[in-house]
Amino acid sequence: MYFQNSLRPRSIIILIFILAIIFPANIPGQALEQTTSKGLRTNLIKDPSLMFIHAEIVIYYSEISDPAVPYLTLMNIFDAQINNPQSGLLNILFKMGNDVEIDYKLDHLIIKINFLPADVNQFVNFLKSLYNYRGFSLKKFNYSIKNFWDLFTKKNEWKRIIAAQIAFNRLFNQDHPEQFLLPGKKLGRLNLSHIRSFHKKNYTLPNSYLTVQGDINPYVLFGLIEKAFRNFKNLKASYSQFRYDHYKSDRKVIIVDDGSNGNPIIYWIDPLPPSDNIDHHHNRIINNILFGYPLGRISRSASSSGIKNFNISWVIHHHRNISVVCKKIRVGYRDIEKFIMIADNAISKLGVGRISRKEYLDSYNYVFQKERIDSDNYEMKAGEKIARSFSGKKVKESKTGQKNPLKELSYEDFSRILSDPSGSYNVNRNKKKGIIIIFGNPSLVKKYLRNIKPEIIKIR
Amino acid sequence: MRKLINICFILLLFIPLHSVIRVSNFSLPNGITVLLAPDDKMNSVCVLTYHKNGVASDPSDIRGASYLYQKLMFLETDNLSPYERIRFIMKNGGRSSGKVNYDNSVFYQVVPASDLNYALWLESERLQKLKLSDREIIKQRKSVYDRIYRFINRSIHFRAGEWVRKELFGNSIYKTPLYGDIEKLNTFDTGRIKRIYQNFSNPKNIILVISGKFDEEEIREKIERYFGSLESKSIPAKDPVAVPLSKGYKYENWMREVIPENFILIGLRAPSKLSLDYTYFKLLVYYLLDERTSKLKRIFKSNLKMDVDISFDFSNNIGANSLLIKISSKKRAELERVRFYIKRLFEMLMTDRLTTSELRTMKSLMEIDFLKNLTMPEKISLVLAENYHMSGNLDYGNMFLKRVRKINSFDIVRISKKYLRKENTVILNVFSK
Repeated sequence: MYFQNSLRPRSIIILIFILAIIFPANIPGQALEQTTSKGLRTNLIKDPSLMFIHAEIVIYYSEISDPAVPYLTLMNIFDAQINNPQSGLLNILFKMGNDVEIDYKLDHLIIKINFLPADVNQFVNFLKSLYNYRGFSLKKFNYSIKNFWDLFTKKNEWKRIIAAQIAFNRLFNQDHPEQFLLPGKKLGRLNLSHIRSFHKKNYTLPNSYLTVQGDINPYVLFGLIEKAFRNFKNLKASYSQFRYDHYKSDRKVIIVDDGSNGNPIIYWIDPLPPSDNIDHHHNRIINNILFGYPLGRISRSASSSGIKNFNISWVIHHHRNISVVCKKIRVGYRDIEKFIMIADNAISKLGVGRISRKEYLDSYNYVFQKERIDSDNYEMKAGEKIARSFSGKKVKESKTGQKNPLKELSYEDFSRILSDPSGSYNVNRNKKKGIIIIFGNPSLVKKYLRNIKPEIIKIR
Repeated sequence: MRKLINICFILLLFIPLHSVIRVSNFSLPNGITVLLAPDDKMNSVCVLTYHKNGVASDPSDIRGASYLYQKLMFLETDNLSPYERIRFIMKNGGRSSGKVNYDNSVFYQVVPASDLNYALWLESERLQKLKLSDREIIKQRKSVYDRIYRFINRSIHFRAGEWVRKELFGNSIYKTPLYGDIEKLNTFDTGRIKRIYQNFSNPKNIILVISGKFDEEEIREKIERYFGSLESKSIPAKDPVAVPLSKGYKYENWMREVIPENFILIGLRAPSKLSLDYTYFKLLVYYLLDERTSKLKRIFKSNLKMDVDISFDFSNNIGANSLLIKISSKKRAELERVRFYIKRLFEMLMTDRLTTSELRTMKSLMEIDFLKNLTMPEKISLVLAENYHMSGNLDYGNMFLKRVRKINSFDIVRISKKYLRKENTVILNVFSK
């Protein structure tokens, strides 16, 4: 009798509630897209199958007066060599496993962290320490100035960062060519107050976007974040913006003299419409038709022209209101000019022979399928959310009810894009586009260039 | 009673999954072992063929011949032109790779879930219908020879690494490089190289792993259709065993006229993957050398502000392993200091325990890295196949996590005493004159 009484509906509900708290593993995924009262936009996704937690924090800069300052700020906060003894913030990261990666971009930075579910509180502490950082000191600053290039070139992708700076400089600021270039001699002019004020102005909650996925309870995490920042001031968001429709597209070839004698690396950078624009996806398909490796038109032409041991890879970087596709090309000194000419020839042929429906469909299939495969990767999922966050819009369902913009492309629209005179791969004007940046020994590069007249930038 | 049943049903909903990776297995009549790790949340599927044979299975006079198959496997088959298999996978946004090791060989392709049939067919072509011509074998043999010869001639780092590895592995099979003896490579008989294909296509040597999105019911019939006709034409590879390595301290200096930088190579004999010590030793590697937490980096770069570069290479074999630590600097005096500090650190690890915080960090990092690997279908497949090859165990995920979580600071002292002692070390200094 007692047993029966204890199983009243109310008791069962309470029991379910308790069990749900104790054993939350099999509850289906939940997502919470919410802005905190202090302006931090968050996207928190429960995915217990991940078993760890992946977080990405994007901080958009409001101004870029001196390009060295964002890097110096990051170095002073995160570099273990500068922060000795270990700062409080690094100490928190170390406790979480220190699986941190920082992606330097010209107008923003992305901090990627992986940690275990037991360290959620440490993660919130880390966020608080980052936005409330008080660890700058003259000793650390002076060390970072003195060793700037050694610390900067420690990062694997430093050449790509320099290439992006030069490209943005040429695309947007031809009247002020020094604005986005990392300075060599100018570092001495900077002082500690520059990085302090940069941190204060840019490392703010409204300028940030946080995405977290994994074995979390989104509501609990959101509550923890809200609580951690309750004493922060209310600030307004302010972003620097590069607009796709404002860029200057003339071809530039630049040799970067970094003092090394290794094999040359070419970065070929073309602007694309932002990722929320349907033309962005058409351009991805054209880019694959041209620069796909080893099946693209340029790769095939280069192989048949006798260029050996070359390699092409490319990656798309998203910024507010513009994306850029950055092709990384490895080719021998002797073949640089030949390769560029083959590529230009392939681009100009787009207008003459057009692109057949079959070639279009093959390239479309590659882009579409690769995106599907990549979507299994947790970092790609986070990257997609961050790309969307640049537009500041929530993800909308399209007319056809499909979320994937690739499903809305058509061959007819694609032909239109090819004729768009402002496009990176337009075919109606006989004017070369794209910024080509060559890292390598300048005298060796110049030795084999006959028709191309490059400019040389010395960066140290 | 009905309410009780309802409660039991609700309770079942809340029981967390016990296995980190859901996996089932079965065998085909010809001996192929199949492991299935379905995950409906994925959009892709991985078909991985794990061969229980590698360079260690080669006859001793042509050891290294299997290594040629790393490229030969992508050549012409009855129905495919050379490299067509890779082109097909790339066209569809997938990825494909192959690697021949000492104790195993692995070939995989990750494709969209809708292309699973093609992936299975491509694998069956590779296993049954590979066309091996003398011309292609000679071409491949020459290509490997030229590449290695170039390394040997041009890179002092390569030569130094090979020398230390040879000293560490003593008289075991791991002493011979993966590519074989460079002096003999060009004399390997093409007929005998061709016969090695029988080891790769022997169903008893194959563990086929399918992971990602697929229908568990349908896949069995498909696997039977594509792989059921494979026949045994060779003796199956032996089960892997831990190879005991002879101890002995070795110290040598190489003085060279012109080298880009001075460097020290410290080689340590490391436990086999079959040994329980392996996980503990891995933690030690994380502690000393992992880029994110490296103690050596903290000592030399952060504390002492020394101008040195630290890198390492862990062999990752099943039977026996080596850890090579390379420290390079333009200044020779810096390297003398480095050697002194490393000796001190090793001695300290043999007596003093790691702090709780350090140990926790390393354990977290090992766990995170392991779980990160499980998000990629090819990594899941490899982990499952290799563990099944070594122990016949399917529940590797839980086993590994349990083992890592149980590690304590006394274990690290014990492992340090066993593997960081002088008799276990080979040191090579390469200095400019």
